[in-house]
Amino acid sequence: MRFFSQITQQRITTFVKNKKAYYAFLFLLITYVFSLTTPWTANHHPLVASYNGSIVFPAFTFYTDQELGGRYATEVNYFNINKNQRFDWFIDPLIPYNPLESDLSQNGQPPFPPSAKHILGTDAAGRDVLSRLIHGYRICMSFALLITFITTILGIVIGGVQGYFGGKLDLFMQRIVEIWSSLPLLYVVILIGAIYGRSFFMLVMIMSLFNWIALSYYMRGEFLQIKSLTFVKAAKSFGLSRRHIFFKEILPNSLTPVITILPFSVIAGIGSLTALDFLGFGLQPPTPSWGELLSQGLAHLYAPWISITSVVALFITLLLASFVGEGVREAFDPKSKKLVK
Amino acid sequence: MLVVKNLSIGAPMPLTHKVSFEVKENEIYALIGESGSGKSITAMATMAMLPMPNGQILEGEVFWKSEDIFKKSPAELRKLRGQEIAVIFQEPGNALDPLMTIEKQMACVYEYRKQKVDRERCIELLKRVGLPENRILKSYPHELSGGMKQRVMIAMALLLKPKLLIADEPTTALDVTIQFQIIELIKELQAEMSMSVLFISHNLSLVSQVAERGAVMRDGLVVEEGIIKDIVLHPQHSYTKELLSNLIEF
Repeated sequence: MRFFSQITQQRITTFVKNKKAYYAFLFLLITYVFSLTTPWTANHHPLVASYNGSIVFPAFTFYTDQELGGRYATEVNYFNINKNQRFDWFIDPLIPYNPLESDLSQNGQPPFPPSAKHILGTDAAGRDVLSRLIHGYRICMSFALLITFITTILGIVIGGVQGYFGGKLDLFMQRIVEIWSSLPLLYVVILIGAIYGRSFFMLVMIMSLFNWIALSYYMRGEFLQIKSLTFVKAAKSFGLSRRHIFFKEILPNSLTPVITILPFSVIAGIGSLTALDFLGFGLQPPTPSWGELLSQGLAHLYAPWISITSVVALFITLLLASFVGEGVREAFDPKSKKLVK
Repeated sequence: MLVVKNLSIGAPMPLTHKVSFEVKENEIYALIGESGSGKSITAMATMAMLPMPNGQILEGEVFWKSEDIFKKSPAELRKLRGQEIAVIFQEPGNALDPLMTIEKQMACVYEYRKQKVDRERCIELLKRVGLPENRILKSYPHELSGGMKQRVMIAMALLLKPKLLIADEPTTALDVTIQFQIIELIKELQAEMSMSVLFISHNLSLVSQVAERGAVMRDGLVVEEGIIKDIVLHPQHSYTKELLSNLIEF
């Protein structure tokens, strides 16, 4: 048994052959997987250290201050302690700064320019830009992927139901979708954020509720079209159930637009979270985020390391994601010449 | 077996007008008529598979084994479809799901009924319709020719031993030699499995080779009904005469 059908295999090969898209995909995948580890690898606690001769793993285990030779029963404040004094030796993570902590040890006022200590400088509160950037990437990507996942399911189900049942239900739901799509997203975000707080999952929920509409149009069209094909009629004539026809006959045949839209949906997710953060209606302020970094860059134009870093990071991510999207679309396009050869 | 009584379908304009005929046990009954004459929709009505919202029953009944089909529940209808009445469609190219192998599609018919997949019967039937079963089972529909797909469809339709096979223009999309083979196959299988066939076609010469009795339809009306031989030899209606005079082209 082949795991993928022949057509799918052909599409994967086409995608992999498209070097630009394939490497962009690999880069995004690897950086995202790395960014998932940032709570340990871009934080203030050492990965490994030796304390009084015994080896400890502060990044992965909880130690109270007293256990490591301090005075308090709370967790060690790795940021404030003198690591050289406490430990015999220690290995810091690649980026040894927590994105929320201000390093004000230098003379003068933050933002501090790039130096050996802070490769990309610090922001206006003295927090390490690189650390904030990479933590922001994790939050931003997770946000976009989550939204994409939820909107895809919503879009498939709602569009599919509309297309499959058709008739008055379709007419009725289409009107509701139209009304829903004309609600101003930004005001809703501000309002709900003001009432219920602006948590990550609240934002994911609101954005998901507004982003499924485009996909549902596609799915409705696909279902309407495929429903009328003979093999669906044939399946019905064999006495197969509605559920079987919906999920096993029509759905697999209508997935092309879903997969083609996926990468662009991720792009839209990154863009919308950044925009909301930039305007100050996104995630709660101390959270590391690209939009917040951008707005800091705008407020402190004399500190170009903030604005340049965030703009370049955003530009590269969106560009690579759109390369991936292009590659996927080309692989799935039946008119693409590469498939014919 | 199958009795159609005064069947009028369509909304808001009726597409068929009081169509009545009866398919007896072990017979091949033909519905003849040009496209748009209402023969296909009548056939679909016998399985209660009308396209909504335009396919509403205005009047009339369809009896299957003296039970009214339109009064059956959806669950009963699903049981009826496939197990009692099966259909072969006009375009074999579209009648198979392009994403499933033939084996999977055949298994679907069993799986929904929570029956064990009778692989031997699948193979036996594929052999019977004249296909190399080992190769076919693993193939996707796009790897088969039109005639092969129609044979697969016939095999699938016969999996659950239906009592009535509706052949909705089974040969229209095929070329002449394949047409002849398929017709012969349907005739043989009908005799072997002692089932009835409702044969729908616009081709009178083809029908005269297959069916004993039949009805000629035009614009949703049955204009002539009876034994095919009589219809061909002594056409009563002007439309039948017209059909016959056009046969020379074939």
